[in-house]
Amino acid sequence: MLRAMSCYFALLLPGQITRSGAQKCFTGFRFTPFHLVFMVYEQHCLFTRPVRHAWTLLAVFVAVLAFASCSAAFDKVGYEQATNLKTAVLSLMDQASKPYAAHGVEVERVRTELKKSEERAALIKNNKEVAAAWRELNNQVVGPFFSKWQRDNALNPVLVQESVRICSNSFDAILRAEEAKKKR
Amino acid sequence: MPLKDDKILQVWNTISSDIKQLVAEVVKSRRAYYERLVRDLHEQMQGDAVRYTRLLSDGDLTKDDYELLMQSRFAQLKIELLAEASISKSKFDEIAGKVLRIGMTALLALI
Repeated sequence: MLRAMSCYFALLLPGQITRSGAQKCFTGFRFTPFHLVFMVYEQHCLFTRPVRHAWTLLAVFVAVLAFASCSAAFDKVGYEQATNLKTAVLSLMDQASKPYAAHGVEVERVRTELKKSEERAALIKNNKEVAAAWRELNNQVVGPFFSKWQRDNALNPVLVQESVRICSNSFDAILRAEEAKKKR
Repeated sequence: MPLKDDKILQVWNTISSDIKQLVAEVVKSRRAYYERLVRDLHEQMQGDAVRYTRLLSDGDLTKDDYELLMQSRFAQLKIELLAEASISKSKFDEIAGKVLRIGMTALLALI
């Protein structure tokens, strides 16, 4: 990929391709360990030996550009789903001091939606942190709470109140991570 | 006509100080942000753990409830840290985008 970028520059400088063409080529880059090794090598060359060729500087610049897409792109649908799911999960958890039987179907539906969101996040490139956060929310926060509700039939209101707070904060953290992508 | 190396170097020297300043500012502000974040997360976690333990000792929670709450609270902390890692990646993208714009504008102006 880096070699391809250098080629774009090499074609651009003598005027063989247009500026907009080169800019299009630069978009959609993904940072890989290879890029990092290349950057470290180039920095080493720059600071330990005299600069012999201006193209070395250009190569460093090109390598810096490789950082341009090290995180996932904003997922508008995923963000909206997470916002809606937060409301659904919290209002359902609020009912947990009442008997489970009346809400069993709704619990199963919400659990399926949560699983879908987890899978959706896992499918997005460079999104492993958010995918792991969804997995954690599913397996360690919401999942055990609903399982306990099903097992005990009705839960202690103090436990419900504290669990809703934890779940709300967890959803907020995931939404904050998505919001940060939006601002890019 | 092909470009001369010294001309590229000259342009690069003018933009490199801007880039250095930009990166230094971001690193400084992120460091301060992380110091504040770690302090806040630690205080919140401590406050919650104390509250849950008090509720258990007062008999408002059973041992089973307490274990579930502590497990969920640790998961919340992990989720918050994962979200911060993702936000950091986005911030680095932001800075890389700025460096890209400065560099592209200056170097392409040569052609």
